[in-house]
Amino acid sequence: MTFIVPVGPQHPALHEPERFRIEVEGEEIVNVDLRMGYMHRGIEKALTERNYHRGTYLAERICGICSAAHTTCFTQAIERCAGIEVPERAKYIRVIIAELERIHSHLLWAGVAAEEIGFQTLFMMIWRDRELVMDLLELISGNRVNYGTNQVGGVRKNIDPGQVSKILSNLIELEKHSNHYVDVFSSDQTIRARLKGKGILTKQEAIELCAVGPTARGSDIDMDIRKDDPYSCYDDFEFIVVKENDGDILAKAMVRLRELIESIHIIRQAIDNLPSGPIVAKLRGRLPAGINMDLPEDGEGFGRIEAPRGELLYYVRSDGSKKPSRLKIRTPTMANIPPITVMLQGETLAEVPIVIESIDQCFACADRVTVVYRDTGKTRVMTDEDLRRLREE
Amino acid sequence: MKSEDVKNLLGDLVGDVEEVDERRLSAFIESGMEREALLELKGAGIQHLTTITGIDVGREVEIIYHIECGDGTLLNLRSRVSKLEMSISTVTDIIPGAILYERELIEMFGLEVENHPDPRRLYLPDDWPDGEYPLLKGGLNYHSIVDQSITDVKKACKERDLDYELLLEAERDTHNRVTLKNWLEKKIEESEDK
Repeated sequence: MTFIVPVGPQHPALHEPERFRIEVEGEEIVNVDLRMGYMHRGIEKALTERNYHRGTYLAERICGICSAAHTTCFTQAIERCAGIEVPERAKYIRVIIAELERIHSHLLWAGVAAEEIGFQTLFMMIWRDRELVMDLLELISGNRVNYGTNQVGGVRKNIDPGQVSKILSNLIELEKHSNHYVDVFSSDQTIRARLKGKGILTKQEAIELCAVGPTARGSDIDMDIRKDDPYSCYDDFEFIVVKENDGDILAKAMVRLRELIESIHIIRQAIDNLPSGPIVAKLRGRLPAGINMDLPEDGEGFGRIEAPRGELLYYVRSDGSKKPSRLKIRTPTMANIPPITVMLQGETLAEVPIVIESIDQCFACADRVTVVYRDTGKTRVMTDEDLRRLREE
Repeated sequence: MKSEDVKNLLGDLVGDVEEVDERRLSAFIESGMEREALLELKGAGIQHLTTITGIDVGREVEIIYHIECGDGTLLNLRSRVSKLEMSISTVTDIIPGAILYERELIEMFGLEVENHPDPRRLYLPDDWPDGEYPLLKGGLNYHSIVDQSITDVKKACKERDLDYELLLEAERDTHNRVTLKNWLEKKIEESEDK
């Protein structure tokens, strides 16, 4: 005899609205069904209705945590399509921001994971240390999230020598704390009891379900776009691709924590070798008077990067006009959703929050394609009023 | 992986394999042959499907399978499906990870994916009207238009810049209603006279 337990769309254990329909036999989960779409904003369609420069701002807002990943990938796709060469210094600054963002994202995850297993103290400590990296991002870009640093052809914010000492001193602190958290996660009995052997994704399953990022690397898959398909000068830096072979939640946690230290190494190398020169490629004309670059009439470009959660792909098709004719986004969470259903099977109901959290899901990233698009052929933005009315109906 | 390797592996299944960018390969494949190609690739240990992209290119929908070759090379297998057919077969039995990408194609383009294990909606709300596909340009589904009454068809023609030939083809394909056909043909003659 099985029972259905609905989790979400609104649930204290979920940080974003999504509905899991969990079929249990006693305490054991036998089947999981997922309903997505509660965060769907129609961004893929909306990006084809803006020019390329304005698109950068919208792409930035797909996700509040990995916003620099989205714009790096978006601009990379367009630069490849238009044949724009980005200056070296801009590439290095992109790497620094991207790695700071990875540290911020992984620390955020580690804190949330600690909270999900009821370890409030650790949660508070990790989030306290996350402020160190948030301060650096604010120092460089002026913002704690949605940095607004990337633009087509380069970056908008330079790193001046005065900021370097602050960055380096915070990195020393961060490294100390990160090493401590690696120790905590690998030795603490509470954490091991909750994470070890739970939510297992075997290597074979991860390959078949096309998992990406730390979720795949926790299952012994050697896959990191920074290494395999280098972009933004990543081939200039030395770092190792962290992987673990157990496939359980602890393995995924260890991958993320050890990646913190690799990211710190990359930032140090980038700061030591930061080239001089311009930070943005010379495009013809000036912004914002229309679009100031030439895109081919039937061109295409790929953006492919390693976001904190895994492989992110942007595919742009241009038709020679100011706006892209199609923009496809494949976010890492989307690729890691099929593995969740496998990971949940056989676990108990109490493990649901931490198993779901273990892929570091970001539903705002995954739900983004729909538009409100009826007979007129125009997009319509839903106002608060509309939503209220719909709710009442 | 180089373009020659792909050509050697897939042989006649694909046309010319081009290197469109650094580590980006592109090849056209005849519609219906995707499964064979993916099976060949899987046999060679290539089974990471990054995503499937659908693009409305006028009378056809282009479908791109973005496949990671294991060494950072992204192979893009493209096929085109006519808007009158709108049907592909599933690849989920070969690559289980394709399940959500195919569901996205179903709801965003109105493609029929044969033998898909779970062809439900993915993102769109439950009350989203049938026959409305957000990523089709102009939101046109010719089959659904010719299903309506003549008044509705006239209205649709007036509001949108319709391709009459495609409309006619859809009409012939589905119902063979003489009146509507005549009316449409007359419309075409009129537009040619102008």
